[in-house]
Amino acid sequence: MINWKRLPWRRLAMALCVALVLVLATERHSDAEKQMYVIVEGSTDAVLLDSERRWARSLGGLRLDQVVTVLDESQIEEERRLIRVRTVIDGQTVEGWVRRSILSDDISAAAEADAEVAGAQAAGQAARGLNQEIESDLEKNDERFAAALENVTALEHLRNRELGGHPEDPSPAKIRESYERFGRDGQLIR
Amino acid sequence: MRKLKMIALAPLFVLLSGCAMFAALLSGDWGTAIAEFTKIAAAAIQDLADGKVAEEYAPSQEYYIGRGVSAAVVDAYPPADLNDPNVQRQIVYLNELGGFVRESSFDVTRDGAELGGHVSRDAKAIERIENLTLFRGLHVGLLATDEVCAFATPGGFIWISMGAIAMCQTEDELAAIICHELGHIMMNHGMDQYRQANQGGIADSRWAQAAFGDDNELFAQFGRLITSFADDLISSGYSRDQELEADNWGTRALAASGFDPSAMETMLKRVREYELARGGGGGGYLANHPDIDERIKAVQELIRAEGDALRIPGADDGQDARNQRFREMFGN
Repeated sequence: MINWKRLPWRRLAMALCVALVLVLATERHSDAEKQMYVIVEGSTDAVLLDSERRWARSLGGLRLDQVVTVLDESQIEEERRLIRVRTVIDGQTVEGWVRRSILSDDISAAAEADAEVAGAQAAGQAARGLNQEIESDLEKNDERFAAALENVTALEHLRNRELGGHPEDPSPAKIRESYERFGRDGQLIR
Repeated sequence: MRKLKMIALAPLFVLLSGCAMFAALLSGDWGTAIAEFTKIAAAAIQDLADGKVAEEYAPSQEYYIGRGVSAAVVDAYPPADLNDPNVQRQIVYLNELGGFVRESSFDVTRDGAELGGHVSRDAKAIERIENLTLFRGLHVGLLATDEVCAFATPGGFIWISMGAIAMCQTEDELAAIICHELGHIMMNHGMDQYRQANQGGIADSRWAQAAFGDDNELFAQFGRLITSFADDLISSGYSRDQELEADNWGTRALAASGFDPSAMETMLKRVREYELARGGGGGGYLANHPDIDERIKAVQELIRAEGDALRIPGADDGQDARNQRFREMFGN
């Protein structure tokens, strides 16, 4: 049973004030600089572009869970396909344009860890690891599935190596360049 | 002292979290805390039973579903030998073609919620399409069969048969097949079907794991779900409305990419010839597709209605260059 008279009211009031200041500071911070996370890896969507043009120059590839700072939040509200961000590529801070669809407010790994306490809806979004687990489990228990999946992986590796320079860690920028070259050679880009 | 601090901060946590279970825990009311926890868990399991948990999938989840379905496709049809240098060149070509079309057609998808009015969607489904991204990009694979078939799975995998490529006489016709399949991906048809298959069934969450209490049973159920979804895709394809929508998206994507949009009509006519040569109707992959004449008519109407908007000035200029590389690649 709580003895209300013996509660440290002054400390409690101070704690509430500090919390309030922290909450407000966080709000202000988020107003000024919203941070988001990249939710794809090795996809040609994961590139920072130098402009909004269709075949804009790539400034570099973005990694899964890479943090980007949104420079103009109104572009999200306007549902723009490309939004302006700042991020770090090869140790350099760069500004450019990125597809809105590859960004999330949540970091994927953290979302998974939070799933058990955050409820069913969060859990539904957080099962990335579980899918890998399922695949590995099915591979272990089903030789036919494992053999078929090997063919799928071989296709991915071939495409990644030939277009992106590496079988498992392709450069999205390189892949995008090969797409553009294909279009120019076929006189599809004018 | 520590207990005192916890008690002092309890109202703050409650204020910030608004969580009755948390409040009860902090005030030492274990009875209420357990009751609240039970309520949350019951709601989560009910969501699970209603299929609500399965509503949203991350791009990485769609990718793994796509890999599973792709495995079923290459189990049903032999994949081309990737050790063959000629096949390797063909794979590069197909992936460049598919990737180029996707990069060129984002605006088609953006405006795509009402493509031909074939598929009705709620706001959430439209949002899903508008925010669709591919976890590891687009992959186009080759199947070593003379049968005319092509498949699109969730997560960005397209499989096209040698028979389907042999049917084409120009690069633009091949682009039409790829555009049609890409339409299924970009309009989220695969995941829509997967959601339906998963309705009220299992869901991919830690809650599901908790509910089943056994990893192996959960994994086995997933295995069955993927296999059954893949079987449906291979034997029946997508629904009639989804096929019509993919034709519509594909025709627009052809134009947006600089190809001749009427190549979609030509390609469909070749499928009709193929069907007739097989004795009509087509089997397997073509069995449940809408009547081919209905599809041809819908594409003709689209081009008639929006022809000027679809055609890019000078679109025919590169046909010779494109057809030459297409012939060099496949000998057509």
